[in-house]
Amino acid sequence: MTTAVAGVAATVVQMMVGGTWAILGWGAASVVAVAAIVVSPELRWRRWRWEVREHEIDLQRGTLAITRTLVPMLRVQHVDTKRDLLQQVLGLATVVFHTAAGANEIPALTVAEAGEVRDRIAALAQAADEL
Amino acid sequence: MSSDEQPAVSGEVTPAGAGAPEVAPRRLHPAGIAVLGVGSMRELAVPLLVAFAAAVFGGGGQPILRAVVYAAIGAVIAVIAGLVRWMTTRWSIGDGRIRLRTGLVSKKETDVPLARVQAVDTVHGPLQRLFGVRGVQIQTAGGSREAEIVLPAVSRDDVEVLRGALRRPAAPAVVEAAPLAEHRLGRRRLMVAALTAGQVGVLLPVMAVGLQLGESLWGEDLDRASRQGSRFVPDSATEWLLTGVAVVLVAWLVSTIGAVLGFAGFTITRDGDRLWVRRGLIARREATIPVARVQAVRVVEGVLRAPFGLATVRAEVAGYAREAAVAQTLFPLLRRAEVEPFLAALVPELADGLDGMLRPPSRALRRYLLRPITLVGALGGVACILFPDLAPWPLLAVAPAAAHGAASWRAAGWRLDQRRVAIRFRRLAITTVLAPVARLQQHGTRQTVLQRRAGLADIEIRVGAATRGHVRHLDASTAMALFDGLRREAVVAGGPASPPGVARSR
Repeated sequence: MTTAVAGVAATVVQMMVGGTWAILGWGAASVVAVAAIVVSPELRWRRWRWEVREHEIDLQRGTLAITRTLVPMLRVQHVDTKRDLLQQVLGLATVVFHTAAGANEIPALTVAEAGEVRDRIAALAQAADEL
Repeated sequence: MSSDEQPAVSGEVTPAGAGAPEVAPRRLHPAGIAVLGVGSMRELAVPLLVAFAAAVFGGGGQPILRAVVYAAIGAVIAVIAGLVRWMTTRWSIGDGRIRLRTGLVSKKETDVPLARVQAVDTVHGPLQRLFGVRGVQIQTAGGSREAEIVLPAVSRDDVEVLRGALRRPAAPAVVEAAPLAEHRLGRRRLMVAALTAGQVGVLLPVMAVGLQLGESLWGEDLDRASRQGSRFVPDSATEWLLTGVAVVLVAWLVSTIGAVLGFAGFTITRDGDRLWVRRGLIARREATIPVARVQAVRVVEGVLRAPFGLATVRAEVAGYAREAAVAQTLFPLLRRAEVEPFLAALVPELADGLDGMLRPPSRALRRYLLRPITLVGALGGVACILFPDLAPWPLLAVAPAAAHGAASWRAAGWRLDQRRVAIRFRRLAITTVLAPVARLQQHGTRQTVLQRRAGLADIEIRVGAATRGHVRHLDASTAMALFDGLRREAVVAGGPASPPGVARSR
């Protein structure tokens, strides 16, 4: 996404100004592309933290902006796992849990782990409801 | 009031079901033929319009005669469709359940335990009024888009039967005896509410579309106009300005009329554990809201209302989030100072003040200003490059953007006391979210790299699908304290609040 934007911007610069500026533009676009493709996913992956506790789910993610979200277990309505095409090829799955205010995700776990997490959240949510 | 907002979910026959009268399967009131027929017409409106247009504009012959024939065919189809739908629709009450059977080809059966019914709402649209019947919508806790059971035409007697069957006898006598709190929207208030209903957010796209339309129309006309030497086309800045003003006026008029029709006779009554809302001029709507399902209150001070200290009170109702706004407006227009007494009288469970908020620090002001100024400045710069004739003028838009940033900083605030949280923020309108912490669906913090250096952070809460609140650029330690405070109240028996320790990979 970022790469595409950078490419488009560089093209626009080339069309409108041309010359030296175009070369600089493409250079900058390449730097952005390298950052977006090589560095950023690694960082994002490394920064993605989650923890399922008895009474809450705690998520923390982001590189430039760090977002932390806390979802009380009592509020979890249902939980499922999903796998898009790429994840099926790579043997990964995403856990999605829903509250009345929307959905939250724990992306790209291994299939076995995602299954465990899903069942754990489901059991804890059930227990929280019976309290 | 119990803090448990889950409805009674049990398999047993509850008292509500046990004492309920049985109703043998019966059809809707015969007026349903008309109501259902018009309903099917509406579904077929687009193809019919196309056929109609084809009849009028396509080919020679007598276009008017053809149009009449097509309209007649349409009417006959509507009557037949209505008749078929009426004949195949039956509802009944028995075994503590209400059942609806409908459909000729694909049959649909809906079966709702009486104990699960949250509310019985009635609608009197123009057609229902004509025949002296009511439309009934039976709401359950499910979050589906529409009411679970819709009976478009029911006689008044049957409405009473339904109400009687679905009334919960659980409400204690003490509550019944308590004086009813009621609030009506007077005529003057209605006018003010209608005149200020126009949201700039609604007006702007309408305006843009109008201007674009005008442009394309007049763009075409320009050739012809110059050829003919006649001009009824704006060609000066003044005329463009006038056109813009006219478009805004029309949009405003439309929103005003819409608000008058929708809010006329708005009355809200607290009756035991229910709120009862009635409103509407042409289509009279009634809705009952179980108070236990009101998750949060939103006080919205719109752009046109805030300068006069006026506000709308809205509710986040579980299960109603995506349904008709009927159930969401608690009152269309109040003075700011009247909000707290209003809430105290009607929903004391959620009543809270609008003032006494803690504000973001003054060093945050710079950041509230920075974003709109850079954004609008950049856009203005691009506009200047693309349209050199307008040169410095687009940059002037920075001033209102900065003013909006400052206003957002002034409006932002939060309060956490006992078990209640209040969050106030400004987008275009100023919104204050009042909610018991126990009703929060989630909450969180956010901190960008720049905020980390300045020791600031954002906080966000979500109470329901439609109710979210955020305050940007709080002191980071304040934001963390608020995060932990909300966590202590929202999460039962929370342990230490360290950030999540499990890295996502293993």
